[in-house]
Amino acid sequence: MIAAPATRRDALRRAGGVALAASAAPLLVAVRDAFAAAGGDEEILLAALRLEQGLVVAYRTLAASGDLDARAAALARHFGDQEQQHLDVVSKQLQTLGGVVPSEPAPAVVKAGREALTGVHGQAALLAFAGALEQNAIAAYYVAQQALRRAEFLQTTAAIMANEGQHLAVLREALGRPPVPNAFETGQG
Amino acid sequence: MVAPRRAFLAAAGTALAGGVLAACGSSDDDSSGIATETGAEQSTAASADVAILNQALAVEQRSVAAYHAAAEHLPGARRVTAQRFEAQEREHADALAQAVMALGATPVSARDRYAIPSLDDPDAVVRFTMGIEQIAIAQYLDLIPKLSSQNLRGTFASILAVEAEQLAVLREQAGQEPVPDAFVRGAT
Repeated sequence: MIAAPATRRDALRRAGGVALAASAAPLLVAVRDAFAAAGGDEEILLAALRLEQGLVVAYRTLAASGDLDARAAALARHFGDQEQQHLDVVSKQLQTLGGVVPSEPAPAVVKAGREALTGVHGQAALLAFAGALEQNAIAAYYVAQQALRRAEFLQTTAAIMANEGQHLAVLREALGRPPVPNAFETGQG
Repeated sequence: MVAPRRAFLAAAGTALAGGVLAACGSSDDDSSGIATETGAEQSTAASADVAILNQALAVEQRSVAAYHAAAEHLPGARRVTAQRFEAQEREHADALAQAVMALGATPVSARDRYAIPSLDDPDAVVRFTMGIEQIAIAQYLDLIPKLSSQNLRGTFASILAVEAEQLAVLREQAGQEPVPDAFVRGAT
Protein backbone atom coordinates (compact mmCIF):
# COMPACT_ATOMS: atom_id res chain seq x y z
CA MET A 1 0.00 0.00 0.00
CA ILE A 2 1.53 3.28 -1.05
CA ALA A 3 -0.97 5.88 0.05
CA ALA A 4 -3.63 6.48 2.61
CA PRO A 5 -7.09 6.13 1.08
CA ALA A 6 -8.89 9.36 0.31
CA THR A 7 -12.18 10.15 1.92
CA ARG A 8 -15.29 10.95 -0.10
CA ARG A 9 -15.06 14.51 1.20
CA ASP A 10 -11.42 14.78 0.02
CA ALA A 11 -12.41 13.63 -3.44
CA LEU A 12 -15.39 15.95 -3.75
CA ARG A 13 -13.42 18.90 -2.39
CA ARG A 14 -11.24 18.76 -5.48
CA ALA A 15 -14.12 20.01 -7.63
CA GLY A 16 -12.74 23.48 -6.95
CA GLY A 17 -15.63 25.02 -5.14
CA VAL A 18 -18.36 23.75 -7.45
CA ALA A 19 -20.74 21.53 -5.50
CA LEU A 20 -20.79 18.01 -6.87
CA ALA A 21 -23.44 15.41 -6.17
CA ALA A 22 -22.52 12.72 -3.67
CA SER A 23 -23.03 10.22 -6.50
CA ALA A 24 -19.72 11.44 -7.96
CA ALA A 25 -17.73 10.46 -4.90
CA PRO A 26 -17.23 6.71 -5.54
CA LEU A 27 -15.61 7.28 -8.93
CA LEU A 28 -13.48 10.15 -7.66
CA VAL A 29 -12.29 8.08 -4.71
CA ALA A 30 -11.52 5.16 -7.03
CA VAL A 31 -9.36 7.44 -9.18
CA ARG A 32 -7.66 9.05 -6.19
CA ASP A 33 -6.86 5.67 -4.66
CA ALA A 34 -5.91 3.98 -7.92
CA PHE A 35 -2.48 3.02 -6.61
CA ALA A 36 -3.34 2.59 -2.94
CA ALA A 37 -3.20 -1.20 -3.04
CA ALA A 38 -0.47 -1.48 -5.68
CA GLY A 39 3.03 -2.63 -4.86
CA GLY A 40 5.77 -3.01 -7.44
CA ASP A 41 5.93 -1.70 -10.97
CA GLU A 42 3.63 -4.31 -12.53
CA GLU A 43 0.82 -3.67 -10.06
CA ILE A 44 1.24 0.08 -10.37
CA LEU A 45 1.06 -0.10 -14.17
CA LEU A 46 -2.04 -2.27 -13.97
CA ALA A 47 -3.58 0.28 -11.62
CA ALA A 48 -2.61 3.08 -14.01
CA LEU A 49 -4.27 1.15 -16.83
CA ARG A 50 -7.47 0.84 -14.78
CA LEU A 51 -7.29 4.53 -13.94
CA GLU A 52 -6.94 5.48 -17.60
CA GLN A 53 -9.78 3.17 -18.59
CA GLY A 54 -11.95 5.03 -16.10
CA LEU A 55 -10.93 8.41 -17.52
CA VAL A 56 -11.64 7.28 -21.09
CA VAL A 57 -15.11 6.11 -20.08
CA ALA A 58 -15.75 9.33 -18.16
CA TYR A 59 -14.75 11.65 -21.00
CA ARG A 60 -16.68 9.67 -23.61
CA THR A 61 -19.74 9.78 -21.40
CA LEU A 62 -19.32 13.51 -20.88
CA ALA A 63 -18.89 14.15 -24.59
CA ALA A 64 -22.06 12.21 -25.36
CA SER A 65 -24.09 13.64 -22.49
CA GLY A 66 -25.82 16.31 -24.57
CA ASP A 67 -25.29 18.75 -21.71
CA LEU A 68 -22.12 20.29 -23.17
CA ASP A 69 -21.97 22.95 -25.87
CA ALA A 70 -20.03 22.15 -29.04
CA ARG A 71 -16.73 23.56 -27.77
CA ALA A 72 -16.90 21.77 -24.44
CA ALA A 73 -17.96 18.53 -26.11
CA ALA A 74 -14.98 18.79 -28.47
CA LEU A 75 -12.73 19.35 -25.47
CA ALA A 76 -14.10 16.24 -23.77
CA ARG A 77 -13.52 14.19 -26.93
CA HIS A 78 -9.98 15.54 -27.27
CA PHE A 79 -9.10 14.80 -23.67
CA GLY A 80 -10.73 11.37 -23.92
CA ASP A 81 -8.60 10.59 -26.97
CA GLN A 82 -5.48 11.56 -25.02
CA GLU A 83 -6.51 9.34 -22.10
CA GLN A 84 -6.87 6.53 -24.65
CA GLN A 85 -3.29 7.20 -25.79
CA HIS A 86 -2.14 6.96 -22.19
CA LEU A 87 -4.03 3.70 -21.89
CA ASP A 88 -2.40 2.28 -25.03
CA VAL A 89 1.14 3.11 -23.93
CA VAL A 90 0.66 1.92 -20.35
CA SER A 91 -0.81 -1.32 -21.73
CA LYS A 92 2.31 -1.90 -23.84
CA GLN A 93 4.57 -1.23 -20.88
CA LEU A 94 2.57 -3.58 -18.71
CA GLN A 95 2.97 -6.28 -21.36
CA THR A 96 6.74 -5.85 -21.31
CA LEU A 97 6.58 -7.04 -17.71
CA GLY A 98 4.46 -10.02 -18.67
CA GLY A 99 1.34 -8.46 -17.24
CA VAL A 100 -2.11 -9.28 -18.57
CA VAL A 101 -3.98 -6.33 -20.02
CA PRO A 102 -7.69 -6.35 -19.24
CA SER A 103 -9.59 -5.52 -22.41
CA GLU A 104 -12.48 -3.82 -20.69
CA PRO A 105 -12.75 -1.40 -17.77
CA ALA A 106 -13.55 -3.02 -14.46
CA PRO A 107 -17.33 -3.35 -14.06
CA ALA A 108 -17.09 -1.46 -10.79
CA VAL A 109 -15.51 1.51 -12.58
CA VAL A 110 -18.17 1.51 -15.29
CA LYS A 111 -20.88 1.32 -12.66
CA ALA A 112 -19.29 4.11 -10.61
CA GLY A 113 -18.98 6.25 -13.74
CA ARG A 114 -22.59 5.73 -14.72
CA GLU A 115 -23.81 6.47 -11.20
CA ALA A 116 -21.56 9.52 -10.88
CA LEU A 117 -23.13 11.18 -13.87
CA THR A 118 -26.68 10.50 -12.79
CA GLY A 119 -26.26 13.26 -10.23
CA VAL A 120 -24.21 15.72 -12.28
CA HIS A 121 -26.09 17.96 -14.70
CA GLY A 122 -25.33 21.11 -16.63
CA GLN A 123 -22.13 22.17 -18.34
CA ALA A 124 -20.49 23.86 -15.34
CA ALA A 125 -21.07 20.86 -13.08
CA LEU A 126 -19.87 18.42 -15.73
CA LEU A 127 -16.68 20.40 -16.34
CA ALA A 128 -16.15 20.67 -12.58
CA PHE A 129 -16.59 16.90 -12.38
CA ALA A 130 -13.98 16.46 -15.12
CA GLY A 131 -11.67 18.82 -13.22
CA ALA A 132 -12.17 16.83 -10.03
CA LEU A 133 -11.36 13.64 -11.94
CA GLU A 134 -8.16 15.19 -13.28
CA GLN A 135 -7.14 16.50 -9.88
CA ASN A 136 -7.65 13.08 -8.31
CA ALA A 137 -5.74 11.44 -11.15
CA ILE A 138 -2.85 13.84 -10.58
CA ALA A 139 -2.90 13.00 -6.87
CA ALA A 140 -2.68 9.32 -7.80
CA TYR A 141 0.20 9.82 -10.24
CA TYR A 142 2.01 11.99 -7.69
CA VAL A 143 1.97 9.00 -5.37
CA ALA A 144 3.03 6.66 -8.18
CA GLN A 145 6.11 8.81 -8.83
CA GLN A 146 7.26 7.94 -5.37
CA ALA A 147 6.73 4.21 -5.78
CA LEU A 148 7.72 3.23 -9.32
CA ARG A 149 11.28 2.03 -9.87
CA ARG A 150 12.04 1.61 -13.55
CA ALA A 151 13.13 4.79 -15.29
CA GLU A 152 10.96 4.31 -18.38
CA PHE A 153 7.83 3.85 -16.26
CA LEU A 154 8.68 6.88 -14.15
CA GLN A 155 9.10 8.99 -17.27
CA THR A 156 5.93 7.73 -18.91
CA THR A 157 3.79 8.34 -15.85
CA ALA A 158 5.41 11.74 -15.24
CA ALA A 159 4.63 12.72 -18.84
CA ILE A 160 1.05 11.56 -18.29
CA MET A 161 0.76 13.44 -14.98
CA ALA A 162 1.95 16.59 -16.75
CA ASN A 163 -0.68 16.08 -19.44
CA GLU A 164 -3.41 15.64 -16.82
CA GLY A 165 -2.15 18.92 -15.34
CA GLN A 166 -2.67 20.59 -18.70
CA HIS A 167 -6.19 19.17 -18.91
CA LEU A 168 -6.85 20.53 -15.44
CA ALA A 169 -5.52 23.98 -16.36
CA VAL A 170 -7.80 24.16 -19.40
CA LEU A 171 -10.79 22.97 -17.39
CA ARG A 172 -10.09 25.54 -14.67
CA GLU A 173 -9.98 28.25 -17.30
CA ALA A 174 -13.26 27.03 -18.78
CA LEU A 175 -14.78 27.38 -15.31
CA GLY A 176 -13.47 30.93 -14.95
CA ARG A 177 -10.79 30.02 -12.44
CA PRO A 178 -7.05 30.75 -12.54
CA PRO A 179 -5.55 27.98 -14.68
CA VAL A 180 -2.35 27.62 -12.65
CA PRO A 181 -3.16 28.63 -9.06
CA ASN A 182 -0.26 26.89 -7.31
CA ALA A 183 3.47 26.50 -7.87
CA PHE A 184 3.27 22.77 -7.06
CA GLU A 185 0.63 20.49 -8.58
CA THR A 186 0.11 17.54 -6.29
CA GLY A 187 -3.61 17.03 -6.87
CA GLN A 188 -4.35 18.24 -3.38
CA GLY A 189 -6.71 21.07 -2.51
CA MET B 1 2.60 26.57 -1.23
CA VAL B 2 3.72 25.26 2.09
CA ALA B 3 2.99 21.55 2.11
CA PRO B 4 5.13 20.42 -0.85
CA ARG B 5 7.99 22.57 0.36
CA ARG B 6 7.74 20.91 3.74
CA ALA B 7 7.79 17.51 2.10
CA PHE B 8 10.76 18.62 0.07
CA LEU B 9 12.70 19.68 3.12
CA ALA B 10 11.60 16.67 5.10
CA ALA B 11 13.02 14.48 2.36
CA ALA B 12 16.23 16.42 2.25
CA GLY B 13 16.56 16.45 6.02
CA THR B 14 16.08 12.72 6.18
CA ALA B 15 18.78 12.29 3.60
CA LEU B 16 21.09 14.44 5.64
CA ALA B 17 20.53 12.20 8.61
CA GLY B 18 21.68 9.27 6.54
CA GLY B 19 18.28 7.62 6.46
CA VAL B 20 17.02 8.73 3.13
CA LEU B 21 17.26 5.33 1.54
CA ALA B 22 14.91 3.95 4.11
CA ALA B 23 12.21 6.04 2.53
CA CYS B 24 13.36 6.33 -1.02
CA GLY B 25 14.10 3.79 -3.62
CA SER B 26 17.52 3.42 -4.98
CA SER B 27 17.41 1.19 -8.01
CA ASP B 28 17.58 -2.08 -6.14
CA ASP B 29 16.22 -1.40 -2.70
CA ASP B 30 13.15 -2.78 -1.04
CA SER B 31 11.65 -2.42 2.35
CA SER B 32 13.57 -5.34 3.75
CA GLY B 33 16.89 -4.53 2.13
CA ILE B 34 17.30 -0.95 3.15
CA ALA B 35 19.07 -1.66 6.39
CA THR B 36 21.95 -3.16 4.43
CA GLU B 37 22.79 0.16 2.77
CA THR B 38 26.14 1.37 3.98
CA GLY B 39 26.85 4.89 5.09
CA ALA B 40 29.00 5.40 2.02
CA GLU B 41 26.18 4.34 -0.29
CA GLN B 42 23.76 6.66 1.45
CA SER B 43 26.23 9.49 1.17
CA THR B 44 26.73 8.82 -2.53
CA ALA B 45 22.97 8.84 -3.12
CA ALA B 46 22.57 12.10 -1.24
CA SER B 47 25.45 13.66 -3.21
CA ALA B 48 23.83 12.60 -6.45
CA ASP B 49 20.55 14.14 -5.35
CA VAL B 50 22.32 17.38 -4.48
CA ALA B 51 23.76 17.55 -7.99
CA ILE B 52 20.32 16.90 -9.48
CA LEU B 53 18.71 19.50 -7.21
CA ASN B 54 21.30 22.05 -8.29
CA GLN B 55 20.72 21.21 -11.94
CA ALA B 56 17.00 21.82 -11.49
CA LEU B 57 17.74 24.98 -9.52
CA ALA B 58 19.77 26.35 -12.44
CA VAL B 59 16.80 25.68 -14.73
CA GLU B 60 14.48 27.55 -12.39
CA GLN B 61 16.87 30.50 -12.02
CA ARG B 62 16.93 30.83 -15.78
CA SER B 63 13.13 30.63 -15.90
CA VAL B 64 12.82 33.38 -13.29
CA ALA B 65 15.09 35.62 -15.35
CA ALA B 66 13.19 34.78 -18.53
CA TYR B 67 9.76 35.59 -17.10
CA HIS B 68 11.11 38.75 -15.48
CA ALA B 69 12.37 39.94 -18.85
CA ALA B 70 9.18 38.80 -20.55
CA ALA B 71 6.96 40.70 -18.12
CA GLU B 72 8.80 43.91 -18.90
CA HIS B 73 7.94 43.49 -22.58
CA LEU B 74 4.32 42.38 -22.34
CA PRO B 75 1.16 44.42 -21.92
CA GLY B 76 -1.98 43.81 -19.88
CA ALA B 77 -3.12 40.30 -19.08
CA ARG B 78 -0.06 38.71 -20.66
CA ARG B 79 2.15 40.72 -18.31
CA VAL B 80 0.10 39.58 -15.32
CA THR B 81 0.49 35.97 -16.44
CA ALA B 82 4.26 36.37 -16.86
CA GLN B 83 4.53 37.92 -13.40
CA ARG B 84 2.50 35.10 -11.86
CA PHE B 85 4.62 32.47 -13.57
CA GLU B 86 7.82 34.26 -12.51
CA ALA B 87 6.63 34.11 -8.90
CA GLN B 88 5.89 30.39 -9.26
CA GLU B 89 9.32 29.71 -10.77
CA ARG B 90 10.82 31.62 -7.85
CA GLU B 91 8.91 29.35 -5.45
CA HIS B 92 10.41 26.35 -7.22
CA ALA B 93 13.89 27.86 -7.01
CA ASP B 94 13.51 28.71 -3.33
CA ALA B 95 12.33 25.21 -2.47
CA LEU B 96 15.13 23.59 -4.45
CA ALA B 97 17.78 25.82 -2.84
CA GLN B 98 16.45 25.03 0.62
CA ALA B 99 16.52 21.32 -0.15
CA VAL B 100 20.16 21.59 -1.22
CA MET B 101 21.01 23.39 2.00
CA ALA B 102 19.12 20.84 4.06
CA LEU B 103 21.45 18.23 2.57
CA GLY B 104 24.40 20.23 3.86
CA ALA B 105 25.43 21.50 0.44
CA THR B 106 25.56 24.88 -1.25
CA PRO B 107 22.96 25.85 -3.83
CA VAL B 108 24.25 27.10 -7.16
CA SER B 109 24.02 30.84 -7.57
CA ALA B 110 22.03 32.46 -10.30
CA ARG B 111 24.10 33.94 -13.10
CA ASP B 112 24.58 37.68 -13.25
CA ARG B 113 22.93 37.69 -16.65
CA TYR B 114 21.19 35.30 -19.01
CA ALA B 115 21.03 35.34 -22.77
CA ILE B 116 17.66 36.89 -23.54
CA PRO B 117 16.74 37.43 -27.19
CA SER B 118 15.26 40.63 -28.54
CA LEU B 119 11.76 40.85 -27.10
CA ASP B 120 10.07 43.65 -29.00
CA ASP B 121 7.09 41.72 -30.32
CA PRO B 122 4.65 40.36 -27.67
CA ASP B 123 4.10 37.21 -29.71
CA ALA B 124 7.85 36.62 -29.83
CA VAL B 125 8.00 37.10 -26.06
CA VAL B 126 5.37 34.42 -25.52
CA ARG B 127 7.14 32.07 -27.92
CA PHE B 128 10.37 32.68 -25.99
CA THR B 129 8.74 31.71 -22.68
CA MET B 130 7.19 28.66 -24.33
CA GLY B 131 10.69 27.58 -25.32
CA ILE B 132 11.88 28.08 -21.75
CA GLU B 133 9.05 25.85 -20.51
CA GLN B 134 9.78 23.17 -23.12
CA ILE B 135 13.38 22.99 -21.94
CA ALA B 136 12.38 22.89 -18.27
CA ILE B 137 9.90 20.08 -18.91
CA ALA B 138 12.50 17.99 -20.76
CA GLN B 139 14.98 18.58 -17.93
CA TYR B 140 12.58 17.46 -15.21
CA LEU B 141 11.57 14.36 -17.17
CA ASP B 142 15.23 13.48 -17.52
CA LEU B 143 16.03 14.14 -13.86
CA ILE B 144 13.13 12.40 -12.12
CA PRO B 145 14.37 8.81 -12.58
CA LYS B 146 17.86 9.81 -11.50
CA LEU B 147 16.75 10.92 -8.03
CA SER B 148 17.22 8.42 -5.25
CA SER B 149 14.76 10.12 -2.93
CA GLN B 150 11.16 9.07 -3.48
CA ASN B 151 9.84 12.28 -1.97
CA LEU B 152 12.00 14.40 -4.23
CA ARG B 153 10.72 12.45 -7.24
CA GLY B 154 7.19 13.34 -6.22
CA THR B 155 8.10 16.97 -5.76
CA PHE B 156 9.90 17.16 -9.09
CA ALA B 157 6.79 15.67 -10.72
CA SER B 158 4.63 18.30 -9.02
CA ILE B 159 6.88 21.01 -10.48
CA LEU B 160 6.88 19.33 -13.90
CA ALA B 161 3.07 19.36 -13.89
CA VAL B 162 3.06 23.09 -13.19
CA GLU B 163 5.54 23.78 -16.00
CA ALA B 164 3.22 21.81 -18.29
CA GLU B 165 0.20 23.80 -17.12
CA GLN B 166 2.07 27.05 -17.72
CA LEU B 167 2.99 25.87 -21.21
CA ALA B 168 -0.67 25.14 -21.97
CA VAL B 169 -1.62 28.68 -20.93
CA LEU B 170 1.17 30.18 -23.04
CA ARG B 171 0.14 28.11 -26.04
CA GLU B 172 -3.37 29.43 -25.72
CA GLN B 173 -2.03 32.99 -25.57
CA ALA B 174 -0.10 32.27 -28.75
CA GLY B 175 -3.27 31.08 -30.47
CA GLN B 176 -2.16 27.45 -30.46
CA GLU B 177 -3.89 24.28 -29.31
CA PRO B 178 -3.12 24.29 -25.56
CA VAL B 179 -2.82 20.51 -25.13
CA PRO B 180 -1.61 19.05 -28.42
CA ASP B 181 0.14 15.95 -27.08
CA ALA B 182 -0.99 13.19 -24.73
CA PHE B 183 2.54 12.90 -23.33
CA VAL B 184 4.24 16.09 -22.21
CA ARG B 185 7.92 15.61 -22.93
CA GLY B 186 9.19 19.10 -23.67
CA ALA B 187 12.09 19.78 -26.00
CA THR B 188 15.76 20.47 -25.64
